[in-house]
Amino acid sequence: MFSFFAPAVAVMNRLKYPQKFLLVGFALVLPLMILVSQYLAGINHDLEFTSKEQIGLIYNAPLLDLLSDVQSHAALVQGWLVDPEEYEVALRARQDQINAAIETADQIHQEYGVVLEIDSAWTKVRSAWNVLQARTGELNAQESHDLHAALVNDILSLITISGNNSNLILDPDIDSYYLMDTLINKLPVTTQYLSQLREYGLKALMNKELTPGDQTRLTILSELALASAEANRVGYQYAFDVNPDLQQMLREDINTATSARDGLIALVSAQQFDNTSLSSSLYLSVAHTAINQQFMLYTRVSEELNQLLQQRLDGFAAQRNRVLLLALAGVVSAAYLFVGFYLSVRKTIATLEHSSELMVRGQVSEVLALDNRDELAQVTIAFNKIAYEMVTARDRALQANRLKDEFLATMSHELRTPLNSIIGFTGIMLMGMRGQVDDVAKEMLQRIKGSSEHLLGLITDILDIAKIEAGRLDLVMTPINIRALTDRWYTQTEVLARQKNLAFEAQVAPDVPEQIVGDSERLTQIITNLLSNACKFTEVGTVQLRVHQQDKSLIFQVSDTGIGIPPEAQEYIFDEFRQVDGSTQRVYGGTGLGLAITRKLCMMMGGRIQVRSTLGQGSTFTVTLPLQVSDELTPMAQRSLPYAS
Amino acid sequence: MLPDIPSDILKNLKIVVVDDDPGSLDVANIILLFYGAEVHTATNGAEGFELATSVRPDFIITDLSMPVMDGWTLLGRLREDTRTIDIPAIALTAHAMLGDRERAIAHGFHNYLTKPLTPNTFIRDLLSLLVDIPEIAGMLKQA
Repeated sequence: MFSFFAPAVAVMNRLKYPQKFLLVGFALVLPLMILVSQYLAGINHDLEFTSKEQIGLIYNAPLLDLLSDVQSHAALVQGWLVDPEEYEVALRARQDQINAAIETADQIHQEYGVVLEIDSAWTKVRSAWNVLQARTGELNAQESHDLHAALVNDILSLITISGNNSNLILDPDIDSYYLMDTLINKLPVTTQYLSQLREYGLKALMNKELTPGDQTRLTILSELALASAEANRVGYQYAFDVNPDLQQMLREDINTATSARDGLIALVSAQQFDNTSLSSSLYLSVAHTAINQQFMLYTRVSEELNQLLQQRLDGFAAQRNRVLLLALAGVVSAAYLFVGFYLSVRKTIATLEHSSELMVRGQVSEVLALDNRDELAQVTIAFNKIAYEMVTARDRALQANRLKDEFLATMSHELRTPLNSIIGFTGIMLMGMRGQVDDVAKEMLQRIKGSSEHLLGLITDILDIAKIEAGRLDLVMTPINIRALTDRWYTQTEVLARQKNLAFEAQVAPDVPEQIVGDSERLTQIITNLLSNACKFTEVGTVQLRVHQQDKSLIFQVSDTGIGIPPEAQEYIFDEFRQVDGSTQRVYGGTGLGLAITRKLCMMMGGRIQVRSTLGQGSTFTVTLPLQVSDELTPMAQRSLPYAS
Repeated sequence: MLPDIPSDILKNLKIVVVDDDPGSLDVANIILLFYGAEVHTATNGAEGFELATSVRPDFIITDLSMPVMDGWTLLGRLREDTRTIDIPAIALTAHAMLGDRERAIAHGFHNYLTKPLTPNTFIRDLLSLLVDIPEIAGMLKQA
């Protein structure tokens, strides 16, 4: 199972947390985004689709006004041809209305014509009207009827085109589809049938003559109007079946329109009509009402359809907003949680890091308390375990070290005390302070004194080494007068040189500053050790100490003309208990620790020691220490050296 | 016997030596007596202070680490008491206790001497310290 995830583990191991999050986030969010955007594109398409349907309704509204006016105009022209005086005013008014309707429709066309891809059809309607208007005075009844019928057909086909191009014809819902069907295909046609009934009826009544042709036409138109009404009724029924609310909303309007229409048709088939005794103005008024009721129904249906479309649009918009909101909420909450996760991890790691730094610096803190309950908590537990172990181990080591120090201090004191007595009393006897001793005894006392001093030196050196290695030796830095100190070294070592008749020189170069800062006791230990070694290993010649300054370093050179050190031995003479060879100690004495201590002290002071030697010709030990110049005595230094002068 | 130092060089001096190690104490006693000093010994700081007030020595030599009362405390007591406030005190330190030397001088010891005490080094070091104290330097018998 693990091997299946191995590549993922490998990738995750190489990434930092923010990168991990980004990767996982992308893997999740990217497909999600694609899905959401596709879904949104779908919704947007639906929105546009439905919006375009609304545009179709808007575009058709003035066309219906125009249709109504043109139909009315057709009837008025028939009336005018028979009785110009009676209809002159109404005809002119209607023409103005038509021109106004054309103007309104044209504005709407300017706005939406391009969207609906309608141009030539509208132009055709406009020019057809212009021709009709210009020729109205010179036409006979038949010509007028034909031209009006042609214009109405143009308007009807324009309504159909806008219905097609505005998607209305493709409406996906049953209720809205049938409402659309009424508006685009049926109601306008119905009005045209009724309008022609009005036109022919009026002509007949005004001429007081019903020709057989007119009679046939009127009968056919009545039948067509009824058939169209029936088709409408069926269409409404389909819509009402799926949307009963619509029936409530439209019932009265439909009933009104139906009864008005039936009134007109009843009038046409009445006896009074057949003998043309019916008043033409009464007939015209009934016909107007019937047709106007159709247009009012159109307006109502159009309102309801627009309402349905608007509901659908609102539904789509709400759906889109829900999806967007959900996606946004998902992304935001995921990001929020990711950031929280990251901060939690970082806080934990920072705490662990801080504690580990404290631990490294030796400040082992209390048990680390974190409020994590996750995998990192296990790390914390492990960390605490390590910390506990470290504290225990450190305490144990400290305890052991303290015991060792105490042991060393006690040992050295306990060993030194009797040795001090041995050395002191032997010296007193050798000096003859309490009576003379003979030469044999003196010789033995010398041996006792030598051995005791050697032993004391060993103890002291071992203790020094132990202290240095335990880091328990602190340098005491004070201002030093290097020339005065050199005098002291000279005095201390001169005795040794004089015993062997060696020439002894000590020189401090003029460029060495008057005051330097250093640990005078440790420096003394270094130089006197080198000087006494030089005296020890030189039988004839000179021992020299030179002090000079070079590149911010203080350089001490101790050279002799002694036995020298073989090249291979030069590598290890600074190691503990190593002298040139085993016989050296027998012949020259010494603990074998002096140079080891000297080198350790040099390193503690930030310096170094080197040796150059030729076997049989002598050796030069060079100590290089960083030079710290003291400009003036600090008050502290003055307190520690009250008699330095 | 050191030919360059007269054996009565300390003849006029009264010295109190304090050390808990009888060996070292005896060695110091014998050497100082040899050079003519009047020596009083004590084995801890408390005894040393009693001696100092009763004997009024010219100077005191005292070990630093001792039972009952150590050298540091003894010095403090000497400096607090008007009878002993002027008496110079010299510390005895072991070689290994290097840090003690600076501390001793910082605390107000006149100077220090290093163990082990041998006739040769002890008397030489002591004399080189004493010449720094004008009142005592005048009392030394010059060869």
